[in-house]
Amino acid sequence: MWKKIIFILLDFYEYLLFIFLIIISLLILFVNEVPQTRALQGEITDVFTFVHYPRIWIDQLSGLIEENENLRRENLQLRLQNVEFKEALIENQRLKAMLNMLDSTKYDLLPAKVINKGTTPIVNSILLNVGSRQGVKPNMAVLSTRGIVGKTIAVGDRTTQVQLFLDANFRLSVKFQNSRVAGIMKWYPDGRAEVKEIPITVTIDPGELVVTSGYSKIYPPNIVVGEVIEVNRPVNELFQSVIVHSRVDTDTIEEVFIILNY
Amino acid sequence: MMKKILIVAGFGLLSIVLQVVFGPWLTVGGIKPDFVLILVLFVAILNGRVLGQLFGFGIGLLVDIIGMGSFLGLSALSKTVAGFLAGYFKNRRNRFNRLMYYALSLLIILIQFTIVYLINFKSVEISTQYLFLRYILPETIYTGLIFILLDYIFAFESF
Repeated sequence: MWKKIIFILLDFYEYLLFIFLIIISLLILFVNEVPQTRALQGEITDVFTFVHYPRIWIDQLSGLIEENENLRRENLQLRLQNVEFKEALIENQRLKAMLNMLDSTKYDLLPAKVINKGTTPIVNSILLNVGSRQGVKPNMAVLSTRGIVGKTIAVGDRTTQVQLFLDANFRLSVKFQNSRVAGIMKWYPDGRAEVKEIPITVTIDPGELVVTSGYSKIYPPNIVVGEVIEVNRPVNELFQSVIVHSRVDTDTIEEVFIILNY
Repeated sequence: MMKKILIVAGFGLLSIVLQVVFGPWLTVGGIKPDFVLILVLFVAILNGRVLGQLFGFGIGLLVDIIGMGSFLGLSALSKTVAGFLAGYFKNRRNRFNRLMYYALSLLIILIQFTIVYLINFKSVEISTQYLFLRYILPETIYTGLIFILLDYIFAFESF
């Protein structure tokens, strides 16, 4: 009897292995949000940071090539356009914006560089070059000079994974700056964000600023999220929905801040 | 055997580096090719179901862990399925004509991306049709074309 079972198992070992691996994968999927899993993920991410080095190196190299081209153009155009100065001006403006942000907030902000953006077409997460050594913990708000970027999910010693606001499972409690009404915002893969179930009696206009409500343990109040681009007011309905556009461009984002003390 | 495992692991890391370095440059309309999946298919086709699915699971889990995937375990799941299905072709490729072989390979890629996107967007009110036309199909075609090109050039196992 046992011999027979063992022979059957040996006959189907490829399928049994397949079922085993599928079950393991599903189990991992189910423990995604467990803090221990995220902690382990952070530690392993640290070990494999080297896979991002070629990309960082190429980015730096392409930056040098660009600078060289700019300088040659400067010589050729005889001061018609000083490209290097222009680059410096843009960088200066960007850094000024960052410094203003550091000065104008009571929060302890940790600057970080983005070292990887996810590989799927929809960017769900980014990897930052700071970690627990700099005081980062899971579930800290991440923002840029343009607004909310996401939250930290997996933290290693030197790297941190951030769940972007574009992630399908990201929800954010927001309020409208003028009308003061609050709601839960969710994003769609096409980049739109929607706040549903706002009473029809509330007047919301396109262009109105949307900020964090402060009802969250992660996001402080009054951080810019985006602005209203469309208001859908169905006839004979009690609620309206609002479409919001984020000012943060996740494709070009390079520097962010983590709020360490909220 | 140990040498083989080390070579496959080396290629695995290389595919992840390729994904990180070239993925953003090869993005067309928000669609990127999946080099890791291509490697899983080749490993499975050349080595069979056992190594194919084990490699798919391992490399998928690594992709999830180092922050390139979506949910932890999702790439492991989808690439295990891809490795298992593609492993069928080991020593059987000659039974199919080239067109049928590539069509079946595309089907495996399609199944892989369908698993990824359906689970990734399970909690989002978005039509399956939109997901299929906007992401699943374009990414299948893009990744599939690169797979076919590499398979044709290197002719890993002649017909």
